[in-house]
Amino acid sequence: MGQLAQQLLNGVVMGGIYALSALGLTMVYGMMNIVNVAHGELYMLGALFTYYLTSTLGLPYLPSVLAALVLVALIGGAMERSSLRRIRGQTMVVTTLVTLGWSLILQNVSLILTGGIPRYITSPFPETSLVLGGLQIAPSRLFAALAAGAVIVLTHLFLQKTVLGNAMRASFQDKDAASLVGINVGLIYMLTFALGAALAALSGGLLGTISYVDPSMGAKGLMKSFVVVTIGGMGSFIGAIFGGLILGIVEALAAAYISSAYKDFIGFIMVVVILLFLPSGLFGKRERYA
Amino acid sequence: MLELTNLDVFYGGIHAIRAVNLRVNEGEFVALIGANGAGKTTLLRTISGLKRPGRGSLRFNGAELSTLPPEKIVALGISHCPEGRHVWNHMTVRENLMLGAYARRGSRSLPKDLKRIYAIFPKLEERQRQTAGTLSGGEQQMLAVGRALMGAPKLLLLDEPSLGLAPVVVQELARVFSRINLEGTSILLVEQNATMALRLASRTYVLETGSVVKEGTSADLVSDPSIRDAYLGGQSLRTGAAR
Amino acid sequence: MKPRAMNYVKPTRRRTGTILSLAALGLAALAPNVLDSYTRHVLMLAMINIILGLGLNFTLGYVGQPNFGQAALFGFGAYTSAILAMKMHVSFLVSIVAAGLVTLMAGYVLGYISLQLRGAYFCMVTIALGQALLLMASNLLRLTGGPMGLAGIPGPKLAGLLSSTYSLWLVALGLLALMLLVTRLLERSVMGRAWVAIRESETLARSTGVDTFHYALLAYVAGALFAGLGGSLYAHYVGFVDPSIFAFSWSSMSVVAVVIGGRGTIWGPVIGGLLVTLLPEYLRVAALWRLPMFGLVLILIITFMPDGLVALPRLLAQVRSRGKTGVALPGGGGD
Repeated sequence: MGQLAQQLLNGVVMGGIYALSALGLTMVYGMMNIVNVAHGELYMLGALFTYYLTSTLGLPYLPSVLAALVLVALIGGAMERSSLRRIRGQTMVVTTLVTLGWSLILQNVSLILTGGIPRYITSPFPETSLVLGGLQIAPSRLFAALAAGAVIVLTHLFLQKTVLGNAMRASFQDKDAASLVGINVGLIYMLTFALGAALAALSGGLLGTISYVDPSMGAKGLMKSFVVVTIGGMGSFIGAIFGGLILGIVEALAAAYISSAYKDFIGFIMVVVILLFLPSGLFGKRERYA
Repeated sequence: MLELTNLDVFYGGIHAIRAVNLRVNEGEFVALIGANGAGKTTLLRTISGLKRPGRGSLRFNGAELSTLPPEKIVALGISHCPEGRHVWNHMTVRENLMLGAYARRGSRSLPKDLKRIYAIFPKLEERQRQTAGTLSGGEQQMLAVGRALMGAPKLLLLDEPSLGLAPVVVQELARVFSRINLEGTSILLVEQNATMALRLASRTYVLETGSVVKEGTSADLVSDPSIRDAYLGGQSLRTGAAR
Repeated sequence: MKPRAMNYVKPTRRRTGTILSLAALGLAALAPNVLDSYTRHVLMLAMINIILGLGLNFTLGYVGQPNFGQAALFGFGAYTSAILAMKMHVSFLVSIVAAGLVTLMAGYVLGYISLQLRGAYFCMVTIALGQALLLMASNLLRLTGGPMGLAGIPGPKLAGLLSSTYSLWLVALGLLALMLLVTRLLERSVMGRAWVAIRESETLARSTGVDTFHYALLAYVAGALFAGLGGSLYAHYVGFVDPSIFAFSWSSMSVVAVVIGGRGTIWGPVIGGLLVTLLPEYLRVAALWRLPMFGLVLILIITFMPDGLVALPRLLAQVRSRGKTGVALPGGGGD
């Protein structure tokens, strides 16, 4: 019983981070109708920048994560402005291919410049686990999960309650109508993509204290995010949260009770099963998000 | 206030607007009538910047519009209520209205303006927390008009507001348009429903295949036999049954 | 549907074309005798890449679905051959035929699953299937050798005379020619037209009575057959497979090749496959920066030349004719 509760806790913690990393992907898809294959690289860059800011520049952890987030948001904005803007409204094959191009560029430039060595972001938190009611949790994991949860809530509030967030939702529901009330739709597209990138970077920076950082981590992160959004429903905000939690918990249980070698495999099996029986995921709508 | 001179617009290889001259004076209510496909919608989309003109000039209070993006044109005081309503279906009535004032976001008069819209369309206040997609067609049209008014426009462009609506609703909208105009907003109304347009507007332009073929005071046009035959004759068939 | 302007070719021209093709094929068959081993190696890899691209072209190019998982099928073929040759000691011919057929069947199953979906979901499932196979290959130690892979896959010796590499060269060349021919036939068949109809508008195609799922699945299965054969060639040629063959980078390389060359055309994958293989080999300085450069080229091609390099002559002709007549005003027609 104690072990089950412990595994569930571990699963929820990882699930929160998975949810955060998938949120940017699902948002960019739901709003812009782009499958951002470079999402994993943005997540990787978030972790990599955090690593260099803390280790090379010796900055404290939190400012480093925030600075990494800003840098990656700028990269995201540049991706949109330089290329995605030109192919807006074209088929998904076209947009996906462009993000694939970005994925190749970002991943391999990182690899060339930094080498493929796995690195570790030094956690600012104590090593010893906290014990809460018989359950153990590492402080760095607890922080990552709480931060992920907080950012998810903030993103939701931003989209629902602020003028800019509403302008984003309006632009993606009806572009012409948005232009007619004076929304600069081109700018909104760029900001949305930058926001998606920032969310990816943040999850990378948070996960970097738990797992290692290297240029190939993006592919793995992308796969996790894909699994999450497929389970939850592509383009669904709430789906990303539940998809993340489900994947986190199922992985934790699989690792504990089946075999840790097949932990990653479980996600793919879930994807196939879910897609066969619920082709648009748990929360996916035929309509687009927003 | 608004002055189109020798305007040509091309749409997908089609010469949609040909050498159009059109003027809306300060405080005036002008109508533009014509059959489906005459180029009325294209003309409005060109004024609001969704479409770029091929040749000619569009001036609004001295500013040249032809190279400005839509958001700059809105900021100059032109609101465009598009054909087919185009409300944001997944957003609430209130959110729709508040975004109508996007170009002057942060302005202190927004709560007051919202109250004004609710006074004009009490139904919208009743339904302010509902999503726009759940409204009836008439209510959606009211929302679209209300949203355009939230931009506090000097000139309001209305594209086929009567399309597909019940006669009662059309009557109500017509009253609202007159009232808004009396309160000082200039209006350019595009309509297939010529009866309504001619009754409301002081001056009217007739557009056929992209060219202005007639213009004059609405009173003159109503008594023009060719207009009666072409635009008012089949009126009873057209009202409320369009598309 | 795009109008195909050249459906009818004068018989004399067709005959000349056939003769030229056969002559080229004959020259290519003899080429290894004069080529140095390095060039031969590079061209061999290019042929494998072209085969992979031709297979991918069915779904990505003709049907227009974002298939980013061709490596799954390629790896499947390679592992099938590796396991058959090393654990069951079958001959090369049995191995390659079996790899083709087994991959074809696997393609039927994987295609049946993934083509329930379109667009974004299809894209993700194709990527995910590659990852799933990668994990399987890394974990089924007894069958696949795990992360270490399988080394020492024997090459063939045709007629006991030719060297293994020469034999493989001939097999690859023959397969390639056959695949080009099959692609040409499919492209002009009812199936090819159905594929393009799906690409232009699946709803429309379905409403005119085209069983779109069926045709999309056939495209996927045809692609699987090509990939399986290509994978088998690769395994026997390199003599070694490991789980990295399922990696996303293999799939994306093939996507890059098809797109650079020209999606939905027969010569697109050929041009693309050659470029993707030859450029990094001969631009040694570029070897390190090969992948980021491909990414950049992919973006540029998609943005500015979406029809790929095969469309270059047509584009140039257009530019030239426009230069002569001056820029025409848009439209001008109308009633």
